[in-house]
Amino acid sequence: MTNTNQQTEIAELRLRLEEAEETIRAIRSGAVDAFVVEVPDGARVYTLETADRPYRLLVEEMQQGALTLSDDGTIAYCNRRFADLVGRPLERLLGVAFRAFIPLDARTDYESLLQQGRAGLSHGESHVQNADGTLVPVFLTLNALPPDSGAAVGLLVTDLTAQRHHEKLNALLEALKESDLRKNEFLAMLSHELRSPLAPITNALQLLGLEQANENPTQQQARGIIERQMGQLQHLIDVLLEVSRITTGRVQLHRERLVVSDIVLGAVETVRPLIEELRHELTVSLPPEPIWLYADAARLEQVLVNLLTNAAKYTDDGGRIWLTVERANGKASGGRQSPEEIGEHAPTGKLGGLTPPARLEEVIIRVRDTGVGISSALLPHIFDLFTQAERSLDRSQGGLGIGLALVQRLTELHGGTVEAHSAYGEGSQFIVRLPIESDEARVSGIRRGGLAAGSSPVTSTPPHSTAPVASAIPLKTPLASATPLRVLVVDDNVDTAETLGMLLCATGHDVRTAHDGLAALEAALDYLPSVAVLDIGLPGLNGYEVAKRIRQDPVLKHIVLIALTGYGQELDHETSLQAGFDHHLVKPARFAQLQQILATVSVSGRALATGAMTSKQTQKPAASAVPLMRPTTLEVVP
Amino acid sequence: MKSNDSNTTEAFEMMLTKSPAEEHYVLRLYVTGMTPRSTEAFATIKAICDERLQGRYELEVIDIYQHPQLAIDEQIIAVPTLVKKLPAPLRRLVGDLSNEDRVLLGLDLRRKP
Repeated sequence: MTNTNQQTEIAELRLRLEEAEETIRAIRSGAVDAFVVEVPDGARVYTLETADRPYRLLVEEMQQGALTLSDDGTIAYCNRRFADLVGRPLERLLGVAFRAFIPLDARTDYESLLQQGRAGLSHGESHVQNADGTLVPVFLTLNALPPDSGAAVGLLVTDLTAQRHHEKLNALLEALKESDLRKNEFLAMLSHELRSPLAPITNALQLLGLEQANENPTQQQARGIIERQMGQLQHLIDVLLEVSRITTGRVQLHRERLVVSDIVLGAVETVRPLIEELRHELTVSLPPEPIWLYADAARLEQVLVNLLTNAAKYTDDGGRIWLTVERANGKASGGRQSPEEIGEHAPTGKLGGLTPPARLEEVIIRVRDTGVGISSALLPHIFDLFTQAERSLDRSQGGLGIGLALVQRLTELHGGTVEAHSAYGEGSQFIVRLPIESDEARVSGIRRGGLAAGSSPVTSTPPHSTAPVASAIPLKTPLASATPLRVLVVDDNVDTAETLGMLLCATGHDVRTAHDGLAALEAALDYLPSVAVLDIGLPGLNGYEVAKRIRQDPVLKHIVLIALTGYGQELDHETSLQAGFDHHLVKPARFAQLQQILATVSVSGRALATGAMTSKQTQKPAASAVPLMRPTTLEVVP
Repeated sequence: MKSNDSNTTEAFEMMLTKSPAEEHYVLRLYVTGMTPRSTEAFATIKAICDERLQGRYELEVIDIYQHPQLAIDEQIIAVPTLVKKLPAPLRRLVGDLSNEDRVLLGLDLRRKP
């Protein structure tokens, strides 16, 4: 046993000896980083350069100024970053009081930071002065160091210049947003306010028109000028209103199922006068079978009218314009199968199985011209609001830089895209892509069967019609005398009320006017009209309130109520319907529209109506079983 | 009895071959912060532990700057040092620990050639 013990002991000793030798070998070969030395009050670590280097690098390379300060606030150590920050050579900084770099007016704050830092931790914003005189905004962090470290305080100096710059930019951005918002609000208000005086002017013009038999040539010429300029003014104001709708995101679509070619032909009709005036040749190519969309007819037509108008305006007289409509697979499909192929090979009824659900069919509408084109500098901004080609002196294209912005917004609202291709002097091409209504896409895809689609485009050349340029004010409307009615006209704009009253009188009606809500109710009770034309924005009681009270009054409730307002939003139509209005006209309404409504009214009020239309209203007139008319909504689309 | 005898023998042989594979390892690596030597040492040891001692080891890394007294208690003279506290016998490996064979040898995970 003793023998075994001795052997174990020897093995143990050998191991210790091996360890000791190994340690010495490691130290000799420089394979260690540090030594631990026992001192009376504990342990001390002596590091070799290899162990210090990573810390040294960290401190020297960091993007903050790092310093240690002695108890009296002089610099015991500082890194290169701090030297750069104050623009002084590193060797001139040791032993210098840190406060020397703090501007005079900030020194008191710094001293108190130092005081707190000595005691534990402190931080705050300050400035340091660069040798070139500039003040650098900084954030200081001070912390007490252990007593045996050779320095009293550690100090971190963070440069806030970049941060301040960002803050400044952000503040600027906020201010710009705010001013943009105000500008948009101003535009909305301005366009609304500008519309108000248009109504009485239009009315007065129509009154003058009634007297045209007695006009001398000068008067006739002057009235013509006023009429044309009024039309122009009204168009501009409508555009302004449209801008404010775009910028405030209040454009609303009234979607329905429709055929693209109907819209295209409608747009062509609208721009035909301009195209003929400039002697352009317009070629329209449509696919042989109908393509269905779920879209807002008026807005889609507006898109095409804007593109065609642009093509006409920016092309020298006698140029060529092409409008092409074709069906295509959307980007979602990567297959070789075109819809035509599907149409040819798929037996009726099995198409659904062959068509992957992800496949999107779309219609591509191209408007191409031989015009001046768009410069490469302008092209990326062509759809921005208020962007337009520079106007040359000899040729005024007019416009406010709104058309294409509107085209893009409206196309996107429809779930489509629009792109522009052009080079200066080489004409332009605009490509509108719109998703085809999926159910309809399949139905018509089956229907096309073996047709070679797109191979036989319908080419339409402009017929030599002499249709007049559509005027915003159709003064030629015959002012035929209708069944004489008692009409109450209420508008706080006295001129509007009076001129409309005069027009109604001139067409054989009996009229009374009022200029606020309460006066309107009094006049209604006193005058017992069969029709009341009410402005909405009335002082005292507003138009909605007046309508509600009239509807609640047993004597007055049969009056036909027509809202006539400048507020053209969807909400207002709904509100006026709920308030009890029968019709809703948007200012400046065409007098002819008002006449049409009056023609459906009998002397006793809400009795005569077209049977085909039904009303959502629950309120029924006591005297009549005939269904109520649905409110007419009119809106001028620029 | 005979079968019993053979069972005992088998159990003994199993203990001889299996026992190193089931022992629990407690290791401590003493370093000075983030020197290349200490990061290399840690990487080597971690790799060996994960490969050979999975699920039955503890590895602590101790910075002697932060715990100088621990180094004294463990009789560390220079760093990096790897201490194998368990299984016995206690072993210290000093210096270059990036050599995998050297570390395997020190941890008794490979028979001496």
